[in-house]
Amino acid sequence: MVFSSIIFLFVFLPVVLLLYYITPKKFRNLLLFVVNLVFYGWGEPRFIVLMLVSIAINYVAGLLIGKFKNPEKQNLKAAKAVLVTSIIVNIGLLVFFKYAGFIGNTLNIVLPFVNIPVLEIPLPIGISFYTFQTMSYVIDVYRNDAKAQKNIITFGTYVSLFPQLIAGPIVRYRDVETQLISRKENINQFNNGVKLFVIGLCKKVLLANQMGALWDILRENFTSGGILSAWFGICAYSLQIYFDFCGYSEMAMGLGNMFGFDFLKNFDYPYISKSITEFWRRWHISLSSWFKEYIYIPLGGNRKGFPRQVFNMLVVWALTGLWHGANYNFILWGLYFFVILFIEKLFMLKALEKIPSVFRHIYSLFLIVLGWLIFYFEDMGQLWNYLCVMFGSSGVFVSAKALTDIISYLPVFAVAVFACTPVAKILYNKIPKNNICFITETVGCMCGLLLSTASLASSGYNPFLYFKF
Amino acid sequence: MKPKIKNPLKYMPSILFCAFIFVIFILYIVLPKDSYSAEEKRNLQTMPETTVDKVFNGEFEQDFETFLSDQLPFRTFFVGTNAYCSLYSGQNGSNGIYKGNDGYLFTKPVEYNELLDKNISYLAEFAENTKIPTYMCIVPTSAYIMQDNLPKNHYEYKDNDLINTAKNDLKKANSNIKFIDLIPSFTEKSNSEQLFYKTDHHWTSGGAYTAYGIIADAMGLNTTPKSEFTITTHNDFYGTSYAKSALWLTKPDTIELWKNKNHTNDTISVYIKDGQKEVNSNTMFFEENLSTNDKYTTFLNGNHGYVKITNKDNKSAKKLLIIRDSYAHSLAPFLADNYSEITLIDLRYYKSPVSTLIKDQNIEETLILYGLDTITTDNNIAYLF
Repeated sequence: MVFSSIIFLFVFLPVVLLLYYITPKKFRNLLLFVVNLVFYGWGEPRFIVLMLVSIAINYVAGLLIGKFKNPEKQNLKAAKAVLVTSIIVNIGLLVFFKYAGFIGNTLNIVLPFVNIPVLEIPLPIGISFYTFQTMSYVIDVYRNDAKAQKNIITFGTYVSLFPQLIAGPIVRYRDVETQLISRKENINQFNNGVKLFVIGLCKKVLLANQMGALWDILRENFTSGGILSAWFGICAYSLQIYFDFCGYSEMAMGLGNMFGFDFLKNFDYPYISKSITEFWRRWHISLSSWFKEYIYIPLGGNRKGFPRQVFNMLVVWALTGLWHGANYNFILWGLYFFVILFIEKLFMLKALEKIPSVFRHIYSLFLIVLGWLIFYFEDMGQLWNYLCVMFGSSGVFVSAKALTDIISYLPVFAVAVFACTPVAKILYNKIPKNNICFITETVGCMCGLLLSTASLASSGYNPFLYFKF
Repeated sequence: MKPKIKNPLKYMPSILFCAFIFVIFILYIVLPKDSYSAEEKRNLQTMPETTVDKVFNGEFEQDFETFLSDQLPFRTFFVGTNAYCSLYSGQNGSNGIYKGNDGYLFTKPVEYNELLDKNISYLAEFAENTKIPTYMCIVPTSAYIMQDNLPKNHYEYKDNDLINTAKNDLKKANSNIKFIDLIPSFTEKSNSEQLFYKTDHHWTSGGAYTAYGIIADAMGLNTTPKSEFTITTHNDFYGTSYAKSALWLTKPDTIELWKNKNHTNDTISVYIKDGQKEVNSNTMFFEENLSTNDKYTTFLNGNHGYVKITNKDNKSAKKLLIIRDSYAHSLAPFLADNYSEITLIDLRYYKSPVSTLIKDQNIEETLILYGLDTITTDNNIAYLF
């Protein structure tokens, strides 16, 4: 189930909210656990089994490690063995479900004489996210950063928590440990949650979907669209991917708030960054910090000399790329950022400090947008063709059709660009919180909700006009 | 532990948000469900049945979401709201429709498609085989004819290019089909007359009469003068473009019925056959349809595979075959004056050999009449033989 759907907004959410608040505190985790599974299994119930297996394995691993780490009868070797086993199982599941096809295809190219059957396994939703969560839990218990959770319901609620189940943020166990055990839902938090949820919903439905539509139209005819069309197209895609992801994270945070949870911020206006290093501090923060904490630092981080640091960066970025999808272009995308970050580390950051910030923004945005191009095109030939058009190979500035499309989406495009900046937030923080502010806020919220619903309703409006007549 | 609520206004977002989602949820349970949508001309999803199998293979979930989407309370209002947002946020229309001046709703341009060339070649081959005089007429879109009424930013309409492509295809195939071009006269006349409906893609009765004049000229027939007709007007016609656009505030069209004064119930008979279903009528205007949602079906009762119009008054014994789409529905009543028998074939529904039909009924002429959209996108013409 996704948040931006009629079933979630008008059936799942009201029912769950009602049940949650009439349930005594003691049973609220159990209730959440059950609705999480309904949410997860909706449309593909068989994956509930996978989720339950994953919960069971990591629950047991956590318990065992906790036991072996107990100072009275410490057995570090056993603890380590359990840790390694659980990591292998977690990664194994992820690799099997997400990368089996990719690995099979690759092997068939490398070893052309051995015919390896390629498995076509449908990707269980959210697996990349919850696998990382369960691993963070086991590792934290091993490192004594968190206590093993003895209640399987509480643990299961954490792993399957529906607000962040499908698209993050990746919540570390220790960040929500106390909230899982005892949380005090209150109306202020609920109210903030509602506002955040509606903002996220609008970002997804009113901005991301529109920009996605523009990107689809422009991309379809990119060879004839001309330079301007290619640039507008990739910018629209950059906006789409940001609002899609950020909108989803904000809806997740908002929903978390409604049920008494506080998740950490996942996006912090990434497109206003003045360097790529800064961009990665602002983009998908929960993922970058996961990699930093569980891969980069354990590998030695920057403490083992510069060559080793570069190697560690390389590993982290190759994996970051691969995490985003089972294809070469994602690895290339990760390595692309490795190279840029390496150069920035070497001298670029210092050089950037000396130039006016407008150029630093242009530099960053240019590289980010180029990155999304690599991210989008799985076919390298297509990627190259698109790049050529961007730099004028077609000899056309803009075709009449593309110009019509660009103009018709320009107002929404402008709103989207504005929404990438923190201007609105800064203004909001400046105004006094009086009745006028509250009324405006309420009206804004309701309009956003109304327009989002209208947009969702429209996608189901399909006049069947008799093969058009 | 709850903090004191100092100012209820502060919590209005939560209160209204909850009210909104709960009210819609309750309405889902309470409101009766529709099984048919008149605007969309399709059946709506009703509550799907729950079986273990269907839940496990995801079929139930999918149908249930379609059910929610089809039965959403205030759905028409929401869809309309979205359409107006789209109209005023730069799209100049919505759902593939442009909103023009004077309440005109225009469909977006027809794009070139290889099917056009293929369809023309099928038709040319057919004409070659039947060896009877054949005429072809392609109806341009209302937007092309009335470019001045379009909003400023719109896709380019290439009707003339497409129609020229069709003409060239015929020339290349050395076809004996005579092509009748409506564009020049239509463009000229559109300033003084309403040739197309505002909320529908079809031509008005006036437009069909203009086309009749041009076609009759080309086919060497006498055009029945306008004075021979009694014209009645009927209000509140909302066409397909209106339904598609969801711009609900658009004003309706009026529909005109042009009835030949000489035709009576005794002289005209209409026979309609669709599969096993047969209908006989003694008028070409099915006025009971004026009170339905789809008023254009007043002409010859809408889309049918096989329609035969017999005019006993016409002693010429001339018989015409029309291979057509729905533009012919309002045109054929005019031509009925010039022939003793007109057979209309819609290839989307009629799947028997048309050449046999021509032989069996001694048909002497063929008119191919298609809207530009159909001839560019319809893949049923391939089955014509």
